[in-house]
Amino acid sequence: MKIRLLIALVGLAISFALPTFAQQTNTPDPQLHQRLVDVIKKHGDAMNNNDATAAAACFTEDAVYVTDRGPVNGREAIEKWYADLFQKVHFSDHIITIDQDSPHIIGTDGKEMWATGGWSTTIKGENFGPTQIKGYWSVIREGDDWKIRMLTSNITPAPVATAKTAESK
Amino acid sequence: MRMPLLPTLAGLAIGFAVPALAFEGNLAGDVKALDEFAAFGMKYDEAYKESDAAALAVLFTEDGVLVTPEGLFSGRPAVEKWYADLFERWHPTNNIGQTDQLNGIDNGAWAVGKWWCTFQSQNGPVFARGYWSTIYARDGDGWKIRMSTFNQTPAPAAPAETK
Repeated sequence: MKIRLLIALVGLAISFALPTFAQQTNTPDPQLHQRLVDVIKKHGDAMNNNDATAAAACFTEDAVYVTDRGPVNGREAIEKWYADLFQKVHFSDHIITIDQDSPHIIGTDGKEMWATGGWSTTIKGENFGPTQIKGYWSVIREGDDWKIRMLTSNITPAPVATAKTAESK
Repeated sequence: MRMPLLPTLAGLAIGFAVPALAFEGNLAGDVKALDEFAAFGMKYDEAYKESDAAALAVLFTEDGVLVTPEGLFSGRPAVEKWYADLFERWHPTNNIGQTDQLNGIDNGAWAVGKWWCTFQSQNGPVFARGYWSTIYARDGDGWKIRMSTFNQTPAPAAPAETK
């Protein structure tokens, strides 16, 4: 498989490990932020274990995952998407950064929120890698357990110099 | 044009055309909200067509966030600068956007869609496409973007890269 295509696919598999990083403005309740870190860790663990079922379990039944190949609708389809991905690529060293402003609570009952952050991961396939890639994400979570209702991710393009070098070979 | 550059430069051609779409969730059946949403989309498309960074930034809330492949840009001034930088390097033409899902949530909404755009470059036109999601906040009788994220579908690898 072409490496670039694979990397693009993989980048969307946004793993969710932990950390927290910066931005500005209003700081959320530390307890809510920690709660977000905790739910994100579940997804990160699933990714580090290359476990499609566990990763999909982080989503609501009617979730949509907006990948750069198009939206994947529903938990079942998302699980298949992850399963297909893990068959081709092995993930490790997932690091997820959470914007310090997150979560942004929607409404008054605390059951809906959105958040943003960044991600990086190391991928290895049969004919490539290990390679580190990174990007950014946003999410809407809902319910008592803040499952993912909508997730969108992107991939930071490779540095120009590197790309030129690669293409000139 | 070297394709790896594109995600950085192509940017957010997000259009908000709403093809016979209706709100789901707590805004289901709210025709007025849908009309206002369509009007908002037209404003966005016009501003983008004019490459008007200031007009685009005004469509975000003061604390709006734009999540790009290059990073997160928080606050209207940062968003305006991002658009200004984009339009300085690239001239978008034939920008088309489409909203595929529209959901009411509390006093706001969120949507998912796709975008296509042709950009003029020194080497001729470059086509780019991708997907986006946006959270909207109510603003009087209209809408503002509270947070928007976009990605870009990778172009097929060039022959030289497949060797």
